[in-house]
Amino acid sequence: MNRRVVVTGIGIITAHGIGKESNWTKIISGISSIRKITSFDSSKYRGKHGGEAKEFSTTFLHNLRNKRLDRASHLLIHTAREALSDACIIDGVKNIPILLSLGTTLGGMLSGEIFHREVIKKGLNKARLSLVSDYYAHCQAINLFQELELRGDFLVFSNACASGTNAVGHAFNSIRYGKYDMAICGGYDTISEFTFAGFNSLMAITTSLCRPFDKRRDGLILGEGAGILILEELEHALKRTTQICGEIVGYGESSDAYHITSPEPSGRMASIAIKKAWSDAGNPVIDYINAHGTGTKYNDIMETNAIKTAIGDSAREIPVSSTKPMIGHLLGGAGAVEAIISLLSINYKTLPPNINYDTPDPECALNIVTKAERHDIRTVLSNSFGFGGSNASIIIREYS
Amino acid sequence: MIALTGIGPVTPIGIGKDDFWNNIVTRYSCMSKVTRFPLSHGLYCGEISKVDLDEYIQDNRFRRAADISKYALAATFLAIDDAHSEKVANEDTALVLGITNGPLTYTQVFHSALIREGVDAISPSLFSESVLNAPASNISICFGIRGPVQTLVGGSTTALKAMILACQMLSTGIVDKAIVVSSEELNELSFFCYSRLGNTILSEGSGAVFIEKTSGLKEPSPYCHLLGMASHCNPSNPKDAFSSAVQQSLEMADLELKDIDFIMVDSSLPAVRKQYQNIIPSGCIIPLAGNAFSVTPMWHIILSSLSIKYGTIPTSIRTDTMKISDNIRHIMICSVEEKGVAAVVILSKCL
Repeated sequence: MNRRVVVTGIGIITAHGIGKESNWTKIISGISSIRKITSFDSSKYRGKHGGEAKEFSTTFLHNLRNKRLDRASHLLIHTAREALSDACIIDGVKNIPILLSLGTTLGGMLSGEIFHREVIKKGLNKARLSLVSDYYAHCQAINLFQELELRGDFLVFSNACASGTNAVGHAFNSIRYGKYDMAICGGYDTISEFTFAGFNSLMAITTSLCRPFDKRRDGLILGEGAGILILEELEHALKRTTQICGEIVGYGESSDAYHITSPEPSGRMASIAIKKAWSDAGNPVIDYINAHGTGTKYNDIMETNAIKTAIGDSAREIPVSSTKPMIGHLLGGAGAVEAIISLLSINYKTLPPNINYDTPDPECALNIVTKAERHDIRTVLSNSFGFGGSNASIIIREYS
Repeated sequence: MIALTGIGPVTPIGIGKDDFWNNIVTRYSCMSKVTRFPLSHGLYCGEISKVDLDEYIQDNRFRRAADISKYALAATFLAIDDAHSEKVANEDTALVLGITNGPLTYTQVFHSALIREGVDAISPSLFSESVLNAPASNISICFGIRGPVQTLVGGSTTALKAMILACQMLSTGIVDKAIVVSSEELNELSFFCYSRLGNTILSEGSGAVFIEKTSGLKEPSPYCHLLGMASHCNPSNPKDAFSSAVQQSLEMADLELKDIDFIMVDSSLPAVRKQYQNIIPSGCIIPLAGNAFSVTPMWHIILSSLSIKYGTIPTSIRTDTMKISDNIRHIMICSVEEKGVAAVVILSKCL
């Protein structure tokens, strides 16, 4: 059974702000929301900047009484509620069997950090156990179930930076093969010092600007936030006469089996994820590629190779951009947020810019979009590649 | 139809299917005082004293991997070997790994160094090995698995959810075969937290199973078939979550509750236990092996596969005295979390 799967609601929080309108306005303006990090002392690190979601602090809670929710839970609950409202199903969602499919790399790491600091300072007996109640990466999903009184099931993927796309891809497959009619899917992550220190120790964080595909690129910028999409089987959505933002038409995944942190340089396995997604979608004309584009030396060459291998000669003509220089790399949230940006690019027929790009790199010879421009975008490929060699690609199409 | 063709237990009771089975049958107790952390805690657990990874994998790249990765690598090796499968280094094999705690020891060491000694003291390799998908990535790299490689995080139900996801990939034709793994390591911080919450018989280890479509099967004959499976979440009513998962899995398997010969349950929730008490014979490995969170249901799957193959349930894991059928055909493996997450997998004898 192959059913059509459409997107009926969107929720997004990034360094650009809360909601699709404020995010889209800033994205097409080419504005960077990267600032010096304030949630911890970043002065001791090589890079000091990140994309903190400063406009967001906490969300309101109706059912959950837990006062010690991690910021990750607040991000997730707020964004999911926004997506359900956008899909006009916020009041009726408790009556529909729901698949909750999420991606995260850290879960409630901020709470874990505080707990561990207390252990070191006060000892194991005096550290507050309540801090670990929302530490584990699946606790946020259960919190969302409780808060929204959902019924159904959840899966939490933790495949590094591909997690969000994996979560959307799983929801897409579950709906098209008839397991569910509706899914809440996406990803989220917060900026934590633990992760910042880790990427810093790997020399992966830039000391200047994040410049994907630029010859002078020297690293990524971390960000935080969440992206949630409401996916529905087409007939289910039409019966509700709700808006349809777009259609998911293809998903592919693969693994490098190469190295724990480095991508396989030729991009062969990443190209297979792209090919699978493209073939799954029926090999449509791709009008825009929202690249993983981290701004690290190795990722961007690998991704260029993968796109060219998968799509062939026409790859040079397709507009490509990475939105990470504006909002940072959201890790587990990246794939979902970028799927949302891809949907918005279709809806607004505008290519998002790859800011900070000014020196072309022959090894990344793609058609990089440097300024937002009008374009007849109908089909978008969005890529995500993660630590450990996780590759995931998704194809999103204009609904017709 | 999907068949289970290989198993790989790495447990405090025994490593490898023969040691595992024989030690369960002889009621070998692996519970001992914790040696991994300071003895001041004075608690008992199921600890794997030593796994010599070289016995399974001659690959220096994983020498510094976290224990959770080493256990997972050893279990995967055993499962592949047991399935006599030589072809996993391709795009048609999936790997799905379910974990609860993840590589917490490296996370703790990395973060401690950052807090106590500063930025210059931290090790990048500790960071990369502490991410939640590091164990799955190591397996993928070691065995050349290039199909979907997924890490699922969750409570005790996660290994069963990993099994369900792998079966979904097989039944929709995404892959031809899959390896499902669960792994956990004992960690001082989590051990102490769980102890403070009253969970004292903790454990560690790994379990892996090899599953494939029956249509492509050659020798050896499979342990069992996977006929029904489901998972459900209802935080306000764990009993309802469990009932729904049981019902859905029975429907999928085209069975009725009376067809189930034995139930393996990891939950101590009274509401769950009472549901099938005195209706179906039940068992649990926790009193023998300790509670290894997501790994426990995986050990239940491995033990049930052997029980179906050998036609007997070891008395050491029985939790009641009900009579068991002489012909064990269907075993239901259940996991229920306090927060209302439930998952069920039904293993059935190959007829």
